Amino acid sequence: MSEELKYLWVATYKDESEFPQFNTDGSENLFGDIEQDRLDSFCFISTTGHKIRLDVKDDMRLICFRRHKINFIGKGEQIEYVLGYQKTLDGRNIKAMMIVDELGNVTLVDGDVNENKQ
Amino acid sequence: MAATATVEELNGAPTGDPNTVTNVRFCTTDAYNPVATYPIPIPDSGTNYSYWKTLRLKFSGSYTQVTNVLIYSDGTGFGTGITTNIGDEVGQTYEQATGTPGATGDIMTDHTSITGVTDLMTYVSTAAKTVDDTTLSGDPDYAKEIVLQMVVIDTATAGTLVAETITWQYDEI
Repeated sequence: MSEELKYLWVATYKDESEFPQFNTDGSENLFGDIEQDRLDSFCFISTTGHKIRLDVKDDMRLICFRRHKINFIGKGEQIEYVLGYQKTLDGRNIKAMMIVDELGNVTLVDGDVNENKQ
Repeated sequence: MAATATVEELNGAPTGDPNTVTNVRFCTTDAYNPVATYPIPIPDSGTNYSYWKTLRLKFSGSYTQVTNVLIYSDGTGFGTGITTNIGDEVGQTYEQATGTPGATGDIMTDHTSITGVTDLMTYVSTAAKTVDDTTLSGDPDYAKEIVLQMVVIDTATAGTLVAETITWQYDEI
């Protein structure tokens, strides 16, 4: 199933121009089309105007995806919005992420949100 | 904008006819949701099995990529004498479930591609079963198939069971 998204993203470049998830004509831009080397900040904006912003440094690689959870028969969809970054520090791979649920609750994760896989 | 995910159960031969799931009923026939017609009898001794069930997630609509498909339970299970197993192998060639209708299915490891099983209820949100970590992008596209089977022994209690909480999880960009 698919429900309306509660958070949309907007990327802001260093020249202050914006690259939104959706253009004014309704067409969608892909996360993969963001020019990461020009990024100044990246923002989740909720349908009610709530904003969650990440200032992007030059050594960061932005991470952004939606995590969907549905029940066994494909109903009851819940969406979490995951935003974070990866960078290499002193030869070590560093990841930090935050998970935003549909109510706007934020959970910070030191590391990878995929460490629950078997 | 966002992928539409539906759950399909495959039944029949040779490749499996997909049925969009509104109920998953473990039973003793190879049919989608046969209401109460083919219950799993509680054995006086030994073990009875449901026919194994082949399920998959279907993704459709306008979306970019889906990956990291997982499944997990709330860890509680259906109660004494009842176990729900998931095949350790995922995405194997479909094979129709077999058994004796109305009596017992054949054990899941009779499936040519399933060599081992694990209690589905041991997979929880903090330790989930990886279903598919490839990248899906087609319209439609399908995550790898999982195979499930309910196992019943003589200590089980008769009657329709309360539904359990099982969760599919996937990531989308």
